[in-house]
Amino acid sequence: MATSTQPTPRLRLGEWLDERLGLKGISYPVPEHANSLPYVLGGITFTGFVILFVTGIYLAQFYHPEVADAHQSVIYIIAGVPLGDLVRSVHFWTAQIVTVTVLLHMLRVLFTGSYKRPREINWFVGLGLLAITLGFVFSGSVLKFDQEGLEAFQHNKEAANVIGAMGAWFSAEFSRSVPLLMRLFNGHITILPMIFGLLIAVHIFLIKQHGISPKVTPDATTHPTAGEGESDFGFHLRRMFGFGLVVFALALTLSLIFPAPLGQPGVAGAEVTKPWWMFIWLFPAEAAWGARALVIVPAVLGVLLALVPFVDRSPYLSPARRKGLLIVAAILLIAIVVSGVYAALQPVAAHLE
Amino acid sequence: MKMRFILRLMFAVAFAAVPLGAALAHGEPVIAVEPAVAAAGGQIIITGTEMEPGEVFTITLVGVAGSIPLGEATVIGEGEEGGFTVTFIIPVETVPGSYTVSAAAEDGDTTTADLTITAPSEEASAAPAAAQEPSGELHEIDRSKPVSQVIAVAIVIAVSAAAGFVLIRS
Repeated sequence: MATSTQPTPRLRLGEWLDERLGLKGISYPVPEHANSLPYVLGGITFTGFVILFVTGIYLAQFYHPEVADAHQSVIYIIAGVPLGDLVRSVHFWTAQIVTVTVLLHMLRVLFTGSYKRPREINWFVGLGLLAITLGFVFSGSVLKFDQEGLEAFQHNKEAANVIGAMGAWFSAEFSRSVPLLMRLFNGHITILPMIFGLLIAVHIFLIKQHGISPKVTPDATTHPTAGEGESDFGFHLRRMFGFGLVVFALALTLSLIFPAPLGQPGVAGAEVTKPWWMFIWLFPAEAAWGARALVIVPAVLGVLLALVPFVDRSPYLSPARRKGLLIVAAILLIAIVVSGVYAALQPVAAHLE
Repeated sequence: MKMRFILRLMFAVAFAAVPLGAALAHGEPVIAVEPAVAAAGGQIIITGTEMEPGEVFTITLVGVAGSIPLGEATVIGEGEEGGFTVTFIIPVETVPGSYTVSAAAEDGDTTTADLTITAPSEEASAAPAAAQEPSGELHEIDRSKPVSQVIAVAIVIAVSAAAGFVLIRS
């Protein structure tokens, strides 16, 4: 007797969605190693940004970007807004986690030679995303307008003066009608997200075009891997989303135990705080060379990172075959870490002119 | 053909830039305020350039709540290269916020610069009770949460972590 099998409701829903959204299109082959943690760091960063955008939209409903009201509005978010303290803390901790994952992602790409031909342009796009991430963190740290935020705000103005016309947007004189703090807020919630959206779209498109960089073996060479692999992208996305949920759980846990800090209202002209960990390594350079170090040192580092694909043009991916470049990178990394630790241990020093 | 068009375009842009550059060279009066962020009761230095020697400018602090006269500045210098550097104390009772420093001459020449004023420092304030000392300490706010909220968040944490690990290991 012939039996007819009816598709389950779940299967029918899947077919209905696939017909309209072309979901099977994301189920293209990717190499197995693309699912390992080091190669999912970019995806984890992306899911972290999704958390930041959602929590940021909520916070923006209650934050007041006027100098006289900014700090008070943050107190209101903490003490008066439903779930405000928790959402702000998740925003804060996710920003810390994302900064770590984006830096680890960059180091992984550097270590595995994933910037090599034909992925050089995507390396530059990634550097742009790193700069945007740090821009988000910096502007976010200013917005709370406590003593630390105000000091960052004043450093921002000094650094803008150093680069003259190029720093015009960061100067108070750029707009007579909209104060700088308000413009930094606008930058934080409109300009930076827009640039981030464009760059991440290009970043993902180029990864799709070239495929994940090949697995590092002693003789592995760089080449496109699009369409190759034993795994599929749908599985990769599931793992990415899984890591995103773990990041969310981690940020929530940290938020419960260590709510996002807020200092005393800022008093201008004083320097009694230190910047957040991702900027503190610049302190010794600023002490030695003044405000111009805040521009020149990151710019030099950025140029050095941008030169990597030009300097290392061999096709080999193995770190053993790229010792020179990796030793220089390690020395720079150690110098940054040592500078940061030194600055963290030193008493607070005034740098503002 | 295309090259000729590009050359013409370049010339057009260059010629358009000449009068603009000339206008900027002769310039309108300009003032700069240092520091751009100051505490109420603190000192600011206003530097004026591109001004006619002998001109007297009235310096005013303009905010949403009204104007606060700071004083006057007389332009010194020779020929067309006049300017001034004056120092003023921001009144300690000035409400923190964003202000515009306005320099206005009798003939109508006016120029402005942005100034952010924060709460007064202890040294600047005549009334120490209202003064605020710069501090790197954390703001004391009651951060305790209702037990129900903590339990709900703990459940969300557990569910997120569990679902995350299931997806990672699937």
